[in-house]
Amino acid sequence: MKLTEQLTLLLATAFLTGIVAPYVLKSVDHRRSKEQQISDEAKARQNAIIQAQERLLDEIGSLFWEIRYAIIRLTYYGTKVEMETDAQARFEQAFTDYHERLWPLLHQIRVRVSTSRRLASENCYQQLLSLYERFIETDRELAKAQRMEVPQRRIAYLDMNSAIYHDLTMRIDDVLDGLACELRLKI
Amino acid sequence: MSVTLQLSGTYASAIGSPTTVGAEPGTVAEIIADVSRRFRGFNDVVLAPDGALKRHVEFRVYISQDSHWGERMYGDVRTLSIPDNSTLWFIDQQAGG
Repeated sequence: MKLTEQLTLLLATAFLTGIVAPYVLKSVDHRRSKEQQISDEAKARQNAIIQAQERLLDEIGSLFWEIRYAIIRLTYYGTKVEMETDAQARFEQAFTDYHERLWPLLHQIRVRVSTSRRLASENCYQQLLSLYERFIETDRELAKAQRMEVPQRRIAYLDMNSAIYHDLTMRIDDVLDGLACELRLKI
Repeated sequence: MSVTLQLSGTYASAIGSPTTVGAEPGTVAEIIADVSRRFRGFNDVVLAPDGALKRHVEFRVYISQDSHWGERMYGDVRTLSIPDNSTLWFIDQQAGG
């Protein structure tokens, strides 16, 4: 091999190992790093969504039970007015507590129902919305009962009390269970 | 020939009846209809739209047998036949939890 050929080969090798190879490796590293960054961002986003879903399930469950207990407490003492000692005072306390908490509770529930449209399926959103509307309907029934004479009002409260205890209670459990299943937050 | 209904104060006051009411023997549905003719609204108080007893009604029948009384509880009582001299209890039950 001539000297010129050897020099050319040497220069070519030096070019490849000194410039091309590091450039290629750097490009590969850069691409991998970019892919990793995209993957990390996707994971972080997924984690944030899962955390938001967990929070939604916990919060809306807690709110549903809070309003449910406020209602059943009111109907429970409402059935006992003029039938038991202290029932009137307990009923008035339950009545006051219910009406003080009603608007904030409905507000907080509705906000989370709205959030569910972004964090769960349309079906889940509709289920939660329907349950929210059930509380509005119950409030109308309570208001209607309140306008009745005491003996008839006690029966209206009895009807509501058993409907809440049997039907609404189960419906809350079912809706929350459906949401948990869909969000894969159920064991 | 009669049966006796014992109503809780809540039910009796809702229909303006005494807590003890007499009726002719028959099925529970017939007895309730009989009482409802005299005390308007009794059927609405104790019966659901499908004719079954409402879930807040604790219903018991005491059937006279010599000196003993038998106690029986039922779910759907529409066609249950009540013999003479029996006592039917209608007691309201609230859920507190």
